[in-house]
Amino acid sequence: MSLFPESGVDAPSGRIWDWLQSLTRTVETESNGVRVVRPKQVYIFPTRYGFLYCIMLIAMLFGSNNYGSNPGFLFTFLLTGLGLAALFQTWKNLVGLQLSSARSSPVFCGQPARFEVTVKNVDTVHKAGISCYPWKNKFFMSKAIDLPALEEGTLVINKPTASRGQMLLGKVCLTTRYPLGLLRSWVYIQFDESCLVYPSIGEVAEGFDYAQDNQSAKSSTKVDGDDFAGHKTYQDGDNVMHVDWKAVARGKGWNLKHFEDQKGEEIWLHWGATSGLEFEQRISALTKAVVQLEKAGKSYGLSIPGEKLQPSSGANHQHLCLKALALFQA
Amino acid sequence: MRSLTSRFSWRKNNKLNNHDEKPKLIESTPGGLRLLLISIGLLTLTALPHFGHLRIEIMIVFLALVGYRCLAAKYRNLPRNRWVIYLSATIGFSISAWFYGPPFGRDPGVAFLVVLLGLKSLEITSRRDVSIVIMLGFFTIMTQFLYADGVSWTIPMIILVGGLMWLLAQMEHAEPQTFMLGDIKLVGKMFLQALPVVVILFYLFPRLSGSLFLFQGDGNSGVTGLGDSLKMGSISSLVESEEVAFVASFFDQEPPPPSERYWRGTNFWVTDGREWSRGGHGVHLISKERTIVEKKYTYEIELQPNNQNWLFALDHPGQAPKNAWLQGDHHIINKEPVKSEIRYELDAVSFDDSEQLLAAEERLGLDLGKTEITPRLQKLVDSFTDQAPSSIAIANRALQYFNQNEFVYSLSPPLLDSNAPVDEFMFESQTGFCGHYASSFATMMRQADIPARIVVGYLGGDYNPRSNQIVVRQSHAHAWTEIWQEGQGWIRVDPTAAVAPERIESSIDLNGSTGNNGQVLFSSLNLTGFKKFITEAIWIKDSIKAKWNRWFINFDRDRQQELLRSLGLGNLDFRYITIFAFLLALTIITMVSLLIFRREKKPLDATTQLSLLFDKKMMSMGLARGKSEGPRDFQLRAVKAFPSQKSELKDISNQLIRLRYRMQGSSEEVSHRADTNQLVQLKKAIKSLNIKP
Repeated sequence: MSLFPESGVDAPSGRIWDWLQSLTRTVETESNGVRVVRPKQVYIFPTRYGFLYCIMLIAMLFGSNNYGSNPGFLFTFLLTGLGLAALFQTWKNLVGLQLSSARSSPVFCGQPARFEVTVKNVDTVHKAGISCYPWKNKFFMSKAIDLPALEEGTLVINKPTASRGQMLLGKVCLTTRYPLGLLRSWVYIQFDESCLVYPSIGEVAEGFDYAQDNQSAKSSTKVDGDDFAGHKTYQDGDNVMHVDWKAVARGKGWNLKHFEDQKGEEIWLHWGATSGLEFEQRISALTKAVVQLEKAGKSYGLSIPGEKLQPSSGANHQHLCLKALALFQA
Repeated sequence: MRSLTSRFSWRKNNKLNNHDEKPKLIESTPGGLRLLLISIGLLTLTALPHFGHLRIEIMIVFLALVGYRCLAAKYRNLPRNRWVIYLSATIGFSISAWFYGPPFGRDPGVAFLVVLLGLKSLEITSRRDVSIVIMLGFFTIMTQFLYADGVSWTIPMIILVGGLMWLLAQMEHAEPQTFMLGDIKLVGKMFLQALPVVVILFYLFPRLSGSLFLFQGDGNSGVTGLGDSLKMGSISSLVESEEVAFVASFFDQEPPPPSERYWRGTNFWVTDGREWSRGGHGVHLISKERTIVEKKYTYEIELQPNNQNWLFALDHPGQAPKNAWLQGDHHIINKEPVKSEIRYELDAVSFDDSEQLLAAEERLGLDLGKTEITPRLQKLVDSFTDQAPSSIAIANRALQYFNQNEFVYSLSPPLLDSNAPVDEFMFESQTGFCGHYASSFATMMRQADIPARIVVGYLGGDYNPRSNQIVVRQSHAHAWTEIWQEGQGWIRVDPTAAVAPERIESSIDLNGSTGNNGQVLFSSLNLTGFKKFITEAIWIKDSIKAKWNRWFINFDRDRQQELLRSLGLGNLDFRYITIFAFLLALTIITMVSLLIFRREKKPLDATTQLSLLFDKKMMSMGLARGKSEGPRDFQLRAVKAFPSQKSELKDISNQLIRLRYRMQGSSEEVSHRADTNQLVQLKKAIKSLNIKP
């Protein structure tokens, strides 16, 4: 649980921590789809500078007392008062903010998912220095935004993706240090929106054992033609289906198996063609194929268990293919 | 494996994309150069007052460091790597150590701090670095107040704190330049919020006495005041100074009339014919048991440092304040010389006549030492004593002599350089001021076998009716005498009064002109016209200053004790400290819980706020909106009720209706700026509605 976002340390996990986290207050989505930061939901804690400031105040208090200096006392207490005012202002800087739902567009696995949230300041006083990060991932702190009175801005939340499918944005920490940087206030916001994560592009593990017989090699090529005619060096944009994976595995570099009969305008990507690979790698291989075929302007179809997309091309078709691959379950 | 490494590598890329990890050079960010220069300017101001107490070399080092940082902002190729910083640190700290030694104690500590502030300014790279330097800046301002002259910097330094807070706020913005004014407003608001905390803590935070660490402040020097001896001519330099010696507050009592305002400092017993002085300690340590007849005044004195160990008191002090002793000759000796402003409370009392002349008093009071008594002086003294019934009669004859001969009161008398200055004064120059009259009179009394002593102190003072205080200035310095009269004790005789009675009734008017031959004109109390206005203004100024002194500069443990008693909070002891800490904790907890647990109100949008404001305004005019009354109906009713304001009312409510019922997401809602302006205009319009039915 990251009660203290300043520490930058990711939260420990465990039953107790989860239980504690379940006690924390979270901004929920209201019936009209807007999330409003309520006063009770804001947490606040001093930053490093805040602690330094406190130590300094104590030193000043001792100094004033030692030298019996009334201006010294006044000054010390003024800074104390301003620190307390900062406590109020830092808290107030988040209260009342209205957040829209998070918008996102699909990304490939491994790239960060990018969510956009519109933040509206309904107060007649400006708010500033507001940024956020996905919970437990302070590393992905967004760029800060300033919000003049009654205006709105957009926060971009990046969240790392580790697997394909729908990725929930989930809990987000909205945080600020404005005005003095001595304190950090934050709220937890629950986002139920998710981002579609396409499978990662063709990352094939090294040293996998390709099918033992030629038949499987054949099966992988049946969409195009039958007659193996020799090798050709792999270039970006070439059909990965033609890569001589066996050779790659032996460390001979990326070469294409060249086939005579490549006139077919419609290319079919068959699930069965990747049978030698692990499950996730099969999906990756097909994903890479989709991307490359689309890039090459070819017309392609996808056939995986439970889903069959007729050959076509274009961004939407690619999206449908990739989505099917992203959501494909064994 | 590959997948892992690639994830890490883009993590790294992401790091660079985010602003957190690799801080941008502040002057390369938009508006950053201006911020940098403002920061360095304000930081220089925090160290500026130290020009007064630090060696110039330290200040040169400081200015060189901040100056180099400014230059580096303009000429980006100037080296500012760690070697430059190490080198400057070595040089800077060496210079500070060379002149001040290790940074312990006030002056070495401040020298170290100022060099550190310069170095940290030189190091500023990102916005976050500025925050840490500002912390140092606060500390530097604080050290200013460890010096005696720090008081005069209080207000400028508070303004500077505002500036530094503004900078901190600017540093937290994504785009600081658009919020320069907004942040000034915010800091102003925060000052107002801080004010009650400041007042409560200043007056109620337990003031512990004494130092909590061993190192202590250095003393101050160069103070003015009465000297501990009286040479003919020595007081004249004081008389020309308008500096305040002390301020006496009489609270709700009538102050003494001008003729009673004799403020005794000390008594001079010993003379060598030219100079009078206090003499050995023996005389002063005698104390006498006296019976108090009447307590006349109770007052408080705020004494400016004068480097003497006596305290001033209205005759006769009934008891000595803390850390001081009352002497048999009515003067008060303080434990140590007064090196910083002190405050004490005294009673002025009158005693009965049963005073006895001590043998030591008689011996010292008659001793003329090596004073040369010329035959004509002896003859004069003989004429006073001739068949006189009492000491008082002799004294009166002497005073008459002063009065009836051509004696002149002057602040610039001729020099008396003969071996017998008393003789020269009495028969030749006949021009002088209090010191001359007092010492000649005392000399003649002793010659006439009457024990006599000189009292130095102040006479008079400017009464300020606004604050019921008497401000005594150095120009009120005075010397008079006391003689022994059997059956009455020591009685005050002021020979100056015989020559210049006005001196007693009013003070010397330094602003007025000095008459011919250096004769002094005395200011009169009957003021008219412009002069009266000026005097009034001075009174007000003085009373403000007195309040400032009383409630700020001199607020100490004792005064806090008084305040606590008057507030019914008891004594300043361990119990109070416990209660204070408890109350403080309770207040903070209450404040925090109020923030957290206060009844949650759905934040109102601006339109609703304005509608409510309008309803409230109408309510104050006596027109309440019905619970289920729609805005149209209310508008009709309002216009009917106040036909004179028809157009304004219609305009406002129409605008409110339009704002409330416009289509969500329509083109109207798109332009927020225009929206804001409209709202602000509407708010003004509602506020300025002024309806007379």
